[in-house]
Parts: sequence; C-alpha cells; structure tokens
Amino acid sequence: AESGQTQEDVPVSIEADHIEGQQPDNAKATGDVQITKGDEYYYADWATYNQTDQHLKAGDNVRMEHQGDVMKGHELDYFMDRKEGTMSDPDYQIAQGLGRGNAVTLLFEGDKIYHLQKSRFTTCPVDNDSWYIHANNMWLDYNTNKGEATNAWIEFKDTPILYMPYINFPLSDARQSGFLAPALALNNRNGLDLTIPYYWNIAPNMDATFYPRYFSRRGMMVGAEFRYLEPTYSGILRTDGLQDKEADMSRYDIFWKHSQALTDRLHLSLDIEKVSDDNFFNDFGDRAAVASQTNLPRQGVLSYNGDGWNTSVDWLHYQTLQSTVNPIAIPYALSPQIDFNTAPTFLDGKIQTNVQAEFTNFTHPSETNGYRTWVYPSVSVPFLTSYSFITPKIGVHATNYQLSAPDGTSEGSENRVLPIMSLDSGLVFERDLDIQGDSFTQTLEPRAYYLYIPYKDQSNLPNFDSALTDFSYSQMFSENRYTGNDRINDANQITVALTSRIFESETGIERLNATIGQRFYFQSPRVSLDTSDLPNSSKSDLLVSLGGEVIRKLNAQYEIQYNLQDHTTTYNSFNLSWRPDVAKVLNLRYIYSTYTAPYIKQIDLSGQWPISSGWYGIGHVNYSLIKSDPNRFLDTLAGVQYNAGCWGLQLAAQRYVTTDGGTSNTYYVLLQLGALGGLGTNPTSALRTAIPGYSDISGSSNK
Amino acid sequence: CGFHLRGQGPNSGFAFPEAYVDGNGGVAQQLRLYLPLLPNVKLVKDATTKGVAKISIAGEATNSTVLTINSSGQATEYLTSLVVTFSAWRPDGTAIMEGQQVTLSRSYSYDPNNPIAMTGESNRLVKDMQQDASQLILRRINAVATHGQDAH
Amino acid sequence: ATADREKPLKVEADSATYDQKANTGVYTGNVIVTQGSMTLRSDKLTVHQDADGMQYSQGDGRPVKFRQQADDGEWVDAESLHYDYNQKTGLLVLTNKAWVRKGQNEVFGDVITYNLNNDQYSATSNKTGAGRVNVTIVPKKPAASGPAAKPAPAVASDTTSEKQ
Repeated sequence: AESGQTQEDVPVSIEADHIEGQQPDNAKATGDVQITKGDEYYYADWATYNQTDQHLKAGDNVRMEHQGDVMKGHELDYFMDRKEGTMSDPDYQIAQGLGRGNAVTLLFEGDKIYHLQKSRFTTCPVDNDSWYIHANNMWLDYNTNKGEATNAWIEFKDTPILYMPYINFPLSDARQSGFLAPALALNNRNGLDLTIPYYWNIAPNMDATFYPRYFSRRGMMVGAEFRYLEPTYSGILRTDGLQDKEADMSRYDIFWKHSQALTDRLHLSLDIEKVSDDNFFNDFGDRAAVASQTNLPRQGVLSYNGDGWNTSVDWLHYQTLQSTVNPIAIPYALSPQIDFNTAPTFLDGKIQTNVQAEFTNFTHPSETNGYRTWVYPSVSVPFLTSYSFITPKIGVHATNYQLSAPDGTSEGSENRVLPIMSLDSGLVFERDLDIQGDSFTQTLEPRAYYLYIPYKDQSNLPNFDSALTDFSYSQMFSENRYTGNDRINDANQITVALTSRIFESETGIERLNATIGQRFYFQSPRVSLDTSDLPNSSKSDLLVSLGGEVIRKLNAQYEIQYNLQDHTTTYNSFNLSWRPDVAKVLNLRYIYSTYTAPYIKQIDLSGQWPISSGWYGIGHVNYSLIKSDPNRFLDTLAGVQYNAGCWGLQLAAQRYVTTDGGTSNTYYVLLQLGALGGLGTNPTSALRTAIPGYSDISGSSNK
Repeated sequence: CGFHLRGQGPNSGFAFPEAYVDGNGGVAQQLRLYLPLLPNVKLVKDATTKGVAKISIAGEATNSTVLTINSSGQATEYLTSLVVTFSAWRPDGTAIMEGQQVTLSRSYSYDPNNPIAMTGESNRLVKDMQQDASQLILRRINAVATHGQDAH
Repeated sequence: ATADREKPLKVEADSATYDQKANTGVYTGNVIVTQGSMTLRSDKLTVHQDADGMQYSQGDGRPVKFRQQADDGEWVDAESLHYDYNQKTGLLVLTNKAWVRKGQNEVFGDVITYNLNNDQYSATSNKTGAGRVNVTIVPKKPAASGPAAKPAPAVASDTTSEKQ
C-alpha cells in the first residue's frame, strides 16, 4: 500500500475532455480520459467510475499501468480496491518487461495476480518473437513470482516443440520455482534421454526439483531432489527410481546429506548414498567424475566441540561398486570410530602440547576384524624469531589391537609403542624487488626437518587404514610416509628444502613460488606395507616445483619428482590456466604419475571461448599418452552455446570411459527459455567440472 | 644478492601489538597457535577487548573432487581444495581488508581399495593447507596494514 | 442546506439599478449575495424574475465565488469567471476556469453545469483551448447519507437593495 495512506483513501483523479456525474459518487468521462490512483494510471477513450465500490469501466483501447506492468486492451471492467476485474483482448507487458504477451481475456484476481485465458507469454523483448508459451489458462502471480499454465505448449521460432498438460515457471530471476529447460540427449546406453526438470520453490528455505526422465530404451525414471535450510539444520535429499526395461530390473539411487547443530557444541552430519547396482552411475551419471565413483559412503558423524578439545563418533560403511575390469577390494567399515584430540598450550603459548586418541572397531566380511586403540601425546616447543624458527617435537605413539576373525574367533592382540622425535628448523631471508615498476618482496626460505622413529617390526599388524602417500612437499615434512595408523615408518632422516616466494608488496598476495627439496635417509627405512614402498637408496627423489600467477590471469604450475639413483621420473605435472575474461578460459594439464597402479600419463585440455556474437565454443579432451591403454580418449566433450538474451541453446557431444570397460557417448541439446530456464541438469553441470573456470553464459540475462 | 634475514625485512612479525582471532575452523586455530610465538604480538583471548586488531576467519570450505581418471574409468587422482574467507580490522576498528579469499589445493593419488586411508590423506592435506593459509593471511594483513598506512 | 431557500436573501453591492419594466436588477462592484449558508461574491450581477416568480441570474467576477453548506454538512465551494443560474431548471452553469469542490472532491473545467436539485454536474473543456476537465474523487468511508436535496440560491423577491 502507498506509504502513509491506506489503500482506501488514495484519491482518484480523472482528467478528460468532458466529465459528468454526481460528486463524489460517480463520474462519466469521455475524450482522452486519464485516471490516476496512487501509482496506477488508466488511459481510455471513455470511462465511468463509481466511487462506492471503486468500480471503473473503460473502453475502446484502454491502457493500464501499475509499477512497470502495462496492460492494453479493448475494454476494462475493474474494481480498484479489490484489484479484481477483466480486460478484453489484452496485450500485456509485466514486471518491467520481464514478461509480455497477449490473450483473449485477462482476469485480475488480486494484487499482481493475472489470469490469462487463451494467451501467450514470453520473456523476449518486444521486437523478438523467438519463443512463446501458449496456454488455455495461465496464471501469473508476481507476489510469489510464479507462473502456471494448463494445456500449454511451447512455440520456438514459430514451431510448436513441446506440449504439457501443466507447467509452472519462474517469473523472475530470484530463486525461482518452475520449469527448468528441457534437456534432450541421445546416449549409447540409454537411447533417447529427455529430462523435463520441474523446480518447486516451496518456501524461502525449502525447495525441490523433480526430474521426470524418459529413456527410450529403459523407460521412465522419476527423480526428485529436496533441499531444506533451517536455522539449526540443513540438508539435501535426492532419489531416482526406474523400472529398467532393458536390464529388466528396478534401479534406484538414494543420496541424503544432512547436517545439524544439535546444540551449539554438538553437531550431527549424515551422508547416506546407495545405488541399486554397480552400473548405476555408468548408465545414468552425467560425467566422468560421477561414473568413477567406486565407494559410496553411508556415514553418520556425531561431533562435540569442548573448550580446547573435541571428540567425534563416526559410523561409516561403504557400498562398493564393483568394476568387472578392475576389481576393487571390499573396504573396512568403521563400526564406529571414536576420536578425541586436544591441544593445550602452556607458558603463554610457548609450549604446545597435542593429545590425539582414537578407538576404532574395524569390521570386514572376510578380512581380519579388530578393535584398534591408539593414543599419541606429543609436545613441541617452537622457538620463533621474525627471521627463523626451530621446533623440537617429541611424542609417543602407543597402539593396541584386539584382533578377531570375521566370525568372531579371537586372533590375539598386538601392541606397538614408538617414540617420535622431530626437529624442524628454518630461516627466512627477504629482499625487495622491483619488476616493471611494481614492488615485490622475494623470500628465500631454507628449511631442515630431522625425524627419528625407531624401527619396530609391524609386518604382523593388520592394515585397516594405512596407505603409502605420494612424496610431495607437504609429505616431505610429515612424520609418516603412510596415512592412517597401522604403519608408522621407522625414520632416521633429514629433509632439506629451499623455497623462494615472490609477494606483491602492496597486497601481500603470493605471485610466484619455487621449491627444491630432498630427503636423506641416515638409515634406510624397513617398515613397509609392501616391499616396493621402500626407497632403494639413501636419498629420496629430488622434488622441484615452480609456479604462480606468472602474468595477470595466467597461472602456471610445474612439479617434478626425479629419482637421481636410477634417473627416472616418479611424478611430473604441468598446469597452465589462462582466464583473461568471463567465458574465456583455456586450461592445459599434463600429468605423469607412478603413484597410481597402473601409472598414468595424460594430457587434459579444456576451454570455453566466444566464437562470434552470442556463440561460445566449449571443449574438453582428456587423452591418455600410454599407448597400451585400451581407451586413449578418457573424456572428451565438444559443444557450442548460443545466448540470445531471452533464450539460450546448448549443443554438446561427450564421450567418457566407464568402470565397466565401456564408454558413455552422449549428444546433448539443451534449450533455455529466458527467465523461464534455470540451468539444465546437463550438460552444464558436466561442463562445470570438465572446464575449471567455466562460466555459464546462458543464464537468463535479458539483453 | 641483497637478501637479509627477515628481522630487518619490511614486514616481520605482525603489524599490531595485540590481536584477537575470531573463527572456529582449522585456520583460525592455526593463527591462534602461531601468533603467540611471534616476538612482537600478544594473542588476546577475550572477544570483547577493545583497541585490539581483529582477524576474522569467516569461512573455511573444503571440497574434494575427482581430478583424473584412468582408462578403465576409475578415479586415480583427487583434488582437495580449501577456500578461506577472512577479514581484518585495525585496533581503531577501521577495516584493513574485508571478505578476502585465499584458495589452496592439493592433489593426491587415489587408491579405490582403501577409501578410509584416502579420507585420512585428504584430511592431512587440509591440515597442511590450513597452516599455509594462516601464513598467507598473516602476510597479506601485514602487507596491507603497513603499506596501507604508508599509502595514505 | 435546503433550508436556505426559506431564509431571507440579502444582496450588497457598490451600486445597483433596477429596470421595473424588464423586472431586472443589475448590481455592480463587490456584489455579495447571502441566503442562509449560501454566499455568492461577484463583480457584477444581473437578476431577472419571470412572470411566475422564477429567477434567472448571471454574474461575472475575478472569479465569481460561490459557497454553500450541503445537506450532508459538507461545504460546496465553486468559482468561475462567469456564471448563469436558472432557478426553473435548477441549473447553475459556471463558465471559464470553472471549479467546484464538495468536501475533498473537486471538478475543474472550462464549463461546469451543476444541477442543484439532484447534485448532478457535467464539466466540459472548450475544444478550442488546451483546457481539460479534471475531477478528483477522494473515496471516503461509505457515506451514510443518501443524496440530499439541494437548496437553490434563489434570490427572494423582497430584495432589500440599498440604492447608491
């Protein structure tokens, strides 16, 4: 309502060539009539107004304007206070031109609620008739920004393309409910794949998307995703179900992520994922990252934050999606795992202690089960000056295993107690640098890290959660080459590294970073998970890494780990990413790594670039350089996108390898209609992961 | 070659004598551990003390995504990233910087046979990035705080 | 109000002439006609009474000012440069920059014809000029009173006119 005046006492002023009537009850005006009430304006050839019920009749090309909405029609019969009435043969522009169209009749059903009969609607500007939604009945409610239509069909470039008994669609860019664009695809596994997502904005903090998805070879899959956001808890629940004609079985997935603050210190988080069969993602996933999922977690974590300590209880089971080509071991389950840690400091922060403890009940259908309890108290006394640091640290890692066979028969217990001592030290040299007039600060940071852990035979210990980690800068300065706690490497070694960084003096942002480092074993390590882990010389690989924002918007990163002993490269990666502008992205990545079994040697090229006005090219190639690989093209995608302001089109073809030894080849067509279309379910989400830095240009920006 | 120990360097230690660190994530914890060790700054524990520099770690978002897949379609490398959003104010309450971001990422090879170990590796890398991020944030605050004053 | 009709009518003016044969009086200079709650001010006023006592008056002013309390208690104000009143038809015609206000409701126009019997008005703009008619209606709470009969600013026959 207008400020200050309630809706009722806003004056109505009528201007015309001729007016007659009975003041103040009624008035009849003729000749270029203009009527104003607050911010509502009416223009007509003639009009009659009755004040008792604020009933306005106007005719012969009447025009009505209210807060940016413009309705033109033949005759208007309207009750101004109730905002109800009809307009015959209307032509309307709504919400500052966001939506427009015409109809046989326009019914006003309340403030900003329009009911159009036999109408058409578009969000394209006046001179652009690219698409319309036609409908027998259409309701446009600009309070909830929701449009609904029954017996509707979409006309695109004068050809009807889609009939729908009922649709609803967003009327504004705000988080809208409504009809996401239809995504059409042709896939070698599913045949024709038509998804008509339907978004429902239930409440400001709750919305849902429904995904009826039709496969010509498999039938109709019904999917739904529900998102909720409350002050103390939030989450997302998604499920899809299909009676698969081709595989003749029912297939489904369930995905539920929930996080909740039970109290301000007690927090619960759930992550439940389940699929009906191993090939679910191979068939229905929309990109390589999804298809490559092998272990689906079913996890519940209850965590408590005390003052200066915290603890958590973690139940975790995995559903393993077996791959016929490359079988995967069934992982252990945590039933549960309880961990505790605290890091009190003394002497005003000068002495830092840390106590970590963990109990885990590892269960497995066929392997050794067991209770494992370990505690690792440690104390470190860092001596820092502004140009140096020396951090001695000493701790004791004590572990107890109670082992049992899967059927429960005890297999005895094991213990392991190991002292862990380390001395980390480093200096920082700095100098000022001027490069092309900009002032930088360059640092030179030598660092030495000595670690001593005595040897203890751990070959009889089970392996629940340990794995050899890659040799990297962060791993070089850690206490254990193995993650987890089943293997603690014996160590009498020193790691030295020299790092130089260049910072912008004004902002302190790191522009370049170069490092060279190596570890020297005074005694060669003997603890291993499998003997090939052990270094074959007294020196580790040499690590060299170099990178940063070489020039504005061009980021480069190079890293190599080179074995000086047998002159081989263990790991080598090179990244280049150039993002000069929005929707202008080129990424190049080369990776050679022997840390994975079998080794990988790949090139990954991806990019998005404008081709011509409104057209953008998108591409992604992940190519394996290993000649013996069965599939050399691991993930390729090529496509074009067109943004015409009030509609957008995406055409893309994608092929990626799947875990069942096959591939998934898909051709996408995605049509987005103005404010109507949010983002299609694919291929845009596929693009976002395939092309780092990708920006979606076909949002509903109206030119 | 012009290098000298940082003691004489332009921005050493912390630009303010006292600082309060707000936030309950790993980066905030790292800052609270690191600041008391610096020679010329005192960590303030009580949020209400006035006239003290304030560092607020507004957000710490970690994310783990598949980086590379092998020719049989299985994930061989994951990328764990950490995005930290932070702000800092001078003792007199004026903002040094607001809503700034530091983004770090680490890749690691993924062994599908031992997912629990992989989660352990990812958590270890996040801790390492948290430590790096705290150093980068301190350096940025120092740079802007000291240069900011020179520039005005 | 309608009761005004029975009230005595007084006319003051700087000067007045009376034409017995034509039964017409002409008043000029600060003419003020009062009858009950009605007052009418104009620079010049001529009044004619026909055989059966019906009065026809017209006047000019810069502007002519008319004010009367209607039955429902609201005041009616009107102005125009020239006005004609016909008691027989009850029509008051205001021409040239005419304006009528009742309560908060107003009518502007070049020519406003106001029927004092049924409170009907009609306002037009003269096509030649750029003038437009403008009516403002302030919707008030549903008015309790129905359309009340209106008084007529008739000039009673026993005019007490001061001769110059």
